[in-house]
Amino acid sequence: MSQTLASLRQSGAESFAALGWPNRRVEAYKYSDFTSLTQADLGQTVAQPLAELSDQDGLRCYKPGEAPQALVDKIGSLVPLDDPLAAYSTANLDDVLIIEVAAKSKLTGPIVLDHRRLAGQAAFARYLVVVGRGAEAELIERYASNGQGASSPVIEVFVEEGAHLRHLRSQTEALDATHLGWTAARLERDASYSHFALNQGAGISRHNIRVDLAGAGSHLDLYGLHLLDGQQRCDSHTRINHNAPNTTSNEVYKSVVGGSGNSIFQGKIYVAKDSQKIEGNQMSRGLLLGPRARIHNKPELEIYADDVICSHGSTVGALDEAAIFYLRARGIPAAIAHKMMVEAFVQDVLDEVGDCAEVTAHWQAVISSYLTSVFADQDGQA
Amino acid sequence: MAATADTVERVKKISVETYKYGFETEIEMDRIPKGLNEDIVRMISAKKDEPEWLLQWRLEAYRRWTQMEEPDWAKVSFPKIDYNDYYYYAAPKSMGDKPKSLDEVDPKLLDTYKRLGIPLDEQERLAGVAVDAVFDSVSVATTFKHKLEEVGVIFMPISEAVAKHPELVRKYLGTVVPTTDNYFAALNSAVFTDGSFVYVPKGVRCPMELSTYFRINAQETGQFERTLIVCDDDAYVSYLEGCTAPMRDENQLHAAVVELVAMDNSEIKYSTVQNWYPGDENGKGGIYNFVTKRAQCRGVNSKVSWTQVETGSAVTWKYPSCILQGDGSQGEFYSIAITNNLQQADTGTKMVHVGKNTRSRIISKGISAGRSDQTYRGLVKMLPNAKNARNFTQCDSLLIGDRCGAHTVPYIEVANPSAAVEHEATTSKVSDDQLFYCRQRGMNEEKALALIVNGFVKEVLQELPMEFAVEAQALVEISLEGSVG
Repeated sequence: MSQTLASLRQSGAESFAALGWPNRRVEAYKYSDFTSLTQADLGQTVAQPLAELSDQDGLRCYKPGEAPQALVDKIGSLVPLDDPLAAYSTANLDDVLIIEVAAKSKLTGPIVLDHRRLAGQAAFARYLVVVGRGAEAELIERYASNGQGASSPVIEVFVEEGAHLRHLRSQTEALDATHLGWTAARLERDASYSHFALNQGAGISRHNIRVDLAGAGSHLDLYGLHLLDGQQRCDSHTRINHNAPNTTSNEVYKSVVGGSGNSIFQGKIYVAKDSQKIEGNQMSRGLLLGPRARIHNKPELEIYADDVICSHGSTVGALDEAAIFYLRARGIPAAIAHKMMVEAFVQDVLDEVGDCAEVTAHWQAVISSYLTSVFADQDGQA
Repeated sequence: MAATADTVERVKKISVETYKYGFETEIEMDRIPKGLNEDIVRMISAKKDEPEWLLQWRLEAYRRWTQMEEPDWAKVSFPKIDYNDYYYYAAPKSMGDKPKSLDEVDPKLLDTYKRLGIPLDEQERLAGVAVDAVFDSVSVATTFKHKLEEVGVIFMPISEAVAKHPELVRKYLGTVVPTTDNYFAALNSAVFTDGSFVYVPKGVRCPMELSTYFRINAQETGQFERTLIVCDDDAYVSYLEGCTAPMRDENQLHAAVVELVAMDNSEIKYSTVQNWYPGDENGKGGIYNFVTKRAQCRGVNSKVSWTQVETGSAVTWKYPSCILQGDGSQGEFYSIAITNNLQQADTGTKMVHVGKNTRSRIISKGISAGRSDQTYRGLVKMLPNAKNARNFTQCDSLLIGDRCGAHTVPYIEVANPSAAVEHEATTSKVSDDQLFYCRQRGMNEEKALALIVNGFVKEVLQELPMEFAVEAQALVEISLEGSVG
């Protein structure tokens, strides 16, 4: 292991030793306690190979030992070690893959980071993605597993001046797994970044997203879905920092909760002093499908500049009975009527996912298998 | 429009003096020694001739308070408070032998209230608002007592109610805000000095608005008032509260507790115009306003409505809340909060839906100017039994100037699928187009801003009783004076 990684691991370990697993008294973890995680939840640390990438024009991958110093210096610079989960992952990191998209290049295919963790294991994937000036790329990040244990991936993304990155992340781990993910990004002047997060798996999951709009004119789109059932608890915590003037952001999170699921969304839009001409909009909507389902939303605005237009909206409710009745009156079975309504609810997020056939097919498959299982008990009804 | 003309007139009268209530009344005070310990608690209790149970209740609260920690989660910062550096009891000497009627009240005190625009002289009252005037630690006068007694409404200082209606006070005191609820509530329970007690019996619609006027006068004192309002079945009461304090360089502490109890089909309307001294333009002085206000809608179809206009105080920490227990009960919260200069306010509400078919509505308008910082912090909680509960929340923030901050921190917790919660929040500045439009019509910038701001807060102003609405409107303009250009 290189010097850089060793010292990063060291500081992660120190930070985690000081912080420990977060409990509800920590405001950022108000609705999810991690102190009850057992060794079985976390799994055995086994060195896991990072995703392998096929060569493409304009795409370069490095190990920290062979990468230019400028890239190596970026490792760990976006993820704050004062967050216990970031510290935990950093303390256990084994290797880092540095992915660089050359300036002005437009990748022909997506960069795919596929992860399949085996039951009982703990995985700590770690990536640094740098999209060079004026480049365009699509990044697909997928996490799946076949049993208990935890994945704690950390990905740091730099979108340089005028570059565009679409980042599609899906988490479909086994229902008894734990998922503790971190995504941190920094956008330079006129850069744009779209992040999509599909959260359907894991018994306990938490996804931290932190995006710094550091260059004027940069734009962020953030979309998320929570599809929960059974005893699942899924917590998305997003923070958008408008640190430069003329930056815009748009965030939409939707939660569908069945069984005794618990969906948590905490999202903050932060506008720094002197960051004028800002537009930041956020929407979080939740749908409760059963009497034991829970939703906790905490949208937040923290604003220190005046020439801004910021808003957030948040709604929580159930499916509209009148609409269900309308469908059933037309001879549509209950289960299908319910599915149609939920599909419509998540459709606007799906619409934004884009034209990459592989991704849309994957998302659609996840949504439809979720709907089949969540409405399974209604199938008998006509 | 008459109201607009009236506002212009009022603002003119106030001239350049921004805080017109900053004067101090020179009056001989009866104080107990500085500091806080069990002896002080006993002394306050003795001063008020309280029964043993209340003393024990206070001591219990004090003991719990000593074990509690000052909360630090609010988005406000101020130097650590030395709780031993305050006087916990200060009363005008002349109040020692309890005047029987207004004629016996020290003319200096009456004059103070006259200067504040609160004539206690019953003859002079217009529409008939009964006033309880609290000066530092004691209530100096309560007007219209007899007229209220005729219909059975009890409206008196809480210290008097303890003596005259101990069974009522004992039954309800601390049942909405327990002594151990939070740090400041525990402190208040231990050392509270005066405040109002209102009991509206079954089926009575209180014939007039009730009002309490709080005045902090003495130096280095804290004011800890306790208000308890109980509205029995099918009753109605509207209660107003106003507050001011002299301009001083040091910070003074105000930690109040307000408890409202609404029984079956009753309604309580609680309005506040809070205009404590906010400190000067450099943030020196001002009141620390740490208040716990909570209403419990115990009965079916009961209703509580909080309306507040918060323009004063250096630091505000206040979350009037409603526990909607009775089926079909309703809670409302209308708020205008204005911060200028270096003021800090962390305010909002909590709506806890326990019963079925409960409804709540939150309208909050925040305006930050100068270098101030303002936070809306609210909780909407739907418990598993809150079937068909509804909430609508709207909180808008307006920023004036590029050195101020406006923050929104709502918590939404839903555990019943039939409950519907809607929340929306916006933050923006006064639009240049609107300003330009007004300026074009010959208004100066300050006037144009006042007009736009008044339009922004109108939704809430409309909820205020008439007597308060005009005052509040003028206050909105004064608070923003000097924030343009």
